[in-house]
Amino acid sequence: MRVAIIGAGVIGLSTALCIHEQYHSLVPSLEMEVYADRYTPHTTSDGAAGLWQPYLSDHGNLQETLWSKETFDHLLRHLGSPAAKEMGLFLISGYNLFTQPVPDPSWKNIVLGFRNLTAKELELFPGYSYGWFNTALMLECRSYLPWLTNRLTQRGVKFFHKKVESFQEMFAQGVDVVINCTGVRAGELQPDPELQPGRGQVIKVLAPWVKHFIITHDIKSGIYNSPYVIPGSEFTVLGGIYQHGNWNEENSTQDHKTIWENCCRLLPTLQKAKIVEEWSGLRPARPFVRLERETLRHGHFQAEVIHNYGHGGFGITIHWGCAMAAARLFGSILQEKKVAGPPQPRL
Amino acid sequence: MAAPKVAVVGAGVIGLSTAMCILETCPSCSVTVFSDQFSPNTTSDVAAGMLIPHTYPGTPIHVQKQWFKETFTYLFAISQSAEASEAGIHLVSGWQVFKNTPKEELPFWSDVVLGFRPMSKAELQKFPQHQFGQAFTTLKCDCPPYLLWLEKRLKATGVQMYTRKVADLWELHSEYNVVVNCAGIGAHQLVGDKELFPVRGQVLKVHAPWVKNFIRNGDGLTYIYPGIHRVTLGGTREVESWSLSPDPGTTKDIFDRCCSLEPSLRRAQDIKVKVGLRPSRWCVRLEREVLSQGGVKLPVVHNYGHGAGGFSVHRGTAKEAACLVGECIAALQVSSSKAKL
Repeated sequence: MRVAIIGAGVIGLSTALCIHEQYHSLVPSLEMEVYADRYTPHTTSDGAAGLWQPYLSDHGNLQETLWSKETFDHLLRHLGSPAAKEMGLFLISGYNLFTQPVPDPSWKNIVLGFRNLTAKELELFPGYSYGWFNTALMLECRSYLPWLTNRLTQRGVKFFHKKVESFQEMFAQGVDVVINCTGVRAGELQPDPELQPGRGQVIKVLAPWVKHFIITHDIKSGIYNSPYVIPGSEFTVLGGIYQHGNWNEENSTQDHKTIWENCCRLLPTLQKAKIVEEWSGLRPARPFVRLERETLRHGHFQAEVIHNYGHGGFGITIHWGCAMAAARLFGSILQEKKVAGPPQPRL
Repeated sequence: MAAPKVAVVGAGVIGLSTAMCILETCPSCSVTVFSDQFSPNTTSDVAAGMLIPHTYPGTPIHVQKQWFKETFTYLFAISQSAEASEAGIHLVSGWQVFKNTPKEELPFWSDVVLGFRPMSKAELQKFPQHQFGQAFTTLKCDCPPYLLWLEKRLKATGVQMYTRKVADLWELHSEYNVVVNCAGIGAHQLVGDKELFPVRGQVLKVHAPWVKNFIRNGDGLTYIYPGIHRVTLGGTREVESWSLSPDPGTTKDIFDRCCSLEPSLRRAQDIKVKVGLRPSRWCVRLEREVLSQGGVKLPVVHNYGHGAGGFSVHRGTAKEAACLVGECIAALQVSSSKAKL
């Protein structure tokens, strides 16, 4: 049974690992391959700071909140393990800031120690009158993706540096199941008008004295269009750009100015930070994540695709829950093909 | 007295901040700092510089709270300014955990630090051997940066600094009107204070930049304090030990204790070991004294004995010491005008 994962960002690699971990012993013939034209450190995931935090509202997508919770709990269990550093996983505390009171987020009981900010704390942030403090997790993809790659390589998964032009191409090669984790460019394999780029730009600086994340929110501007500061293990990421429909992956000097001025106003100590790098990327934005099976019929045969894309700006936050859901879909495919079934009760 | 001349003995956090406060309250004063050690070789350089007060049995709590509040407010303002990174001052959040619920659940300083509250059950799950905890946000003064920043500001106003071991305060009487004794543990020898005793602390300063939160055991013996470039792992409290040599067995013990609180520290790199002698006393000696020898008088202000709590109260005690210096100068002016009559 040949399984091809298209896409090697956080979604592709974690889905590959999840499926392999759960099914390789049940399916002795399982052969898994990863196809991507971009690998770490050149994926969209690599540009993200890596903070676990869903959007403020799940817009009724309770399923997405559950997947994010599953991801958080899974990562929290790994915190104390020897692999944590290699995975790029660590705890971090910080602030979400608003100019007016807002309802508590769907994730308030998922993170640790969620509470409102005190008046004294708000003095830290002139211009903001309301906010939250909580402890969450960082998962830095420049470490996590290589870690996933190592786990997969150890398991015998093969990697191909190749741009897949169509699902048919895979099936013509003899692939039985395709896992579509192509992120923002999924539309090239199958048109999807709901999928749009949410362009972001970030400045990476050296500011090791900053120990908290600070995310500001402007209800009018929308998510990620308000400055944020996220300290990583080596660099601090400054951001605050979200341009819906903009496919441009080039850095914009105007956006640089916006980010730099807004973040320095938010945190004056950043004026002394040394700029190390600038990066732009396209969040794979969709009203909700596309996580579903599709049976493609081509002439006499039918082939299975599992779609797992459209995670917007919360891919890292939701990745493991989605990988597990994709693995369940894979399990249902296996059952139908009678390649592997659930363990039989002993009579 | 046109330009009173003040000598400050000691160039740790207490000496330098006291010199600053003297200049702030008495700009016409000429201040000179003498010390056998300057940063990075002072006791202050070994400390993590966390603003978590130590309780002095011999000082009224309201006084300690006032000192802490003044220090916190002063550093808070710097932490929010563009100077923060140069001064080494930054906010840090974290947890103080207890194996057993302490008698006093609310320390006197709980409303001075930010966001103080008991830890939630979910937070405590990260510390399985601990039943109770407190979460809060406080400030950290990284040394050497903070001391170097103080030195730079002092020198900019014309303060001279000399590397010199002052063996006797009287050495300074001919050239200085007032001597301020911020000699820390050195006061044991300098003024023969038998109430001052060392509490030896060994720490590890390691590279572990993914550690963003502090963790401290309520007994004060085991702690993890992330600084700008290094994380300080501690520690020990060895009463009456004068040894400044690192002990390898202690190093392993500190490392193991910290790793049990934060397992990821097993991957820490470039471990440096340091030792400091906390200048401990049942209360901070913060008072005036007029020394007398053969008819000659020497006004002295003592500001030492801060033990484990130097950083937490340094600015508050420095301001009080500066006031005392002001009183000494005023007294000298009265007696010198009397002498003229």
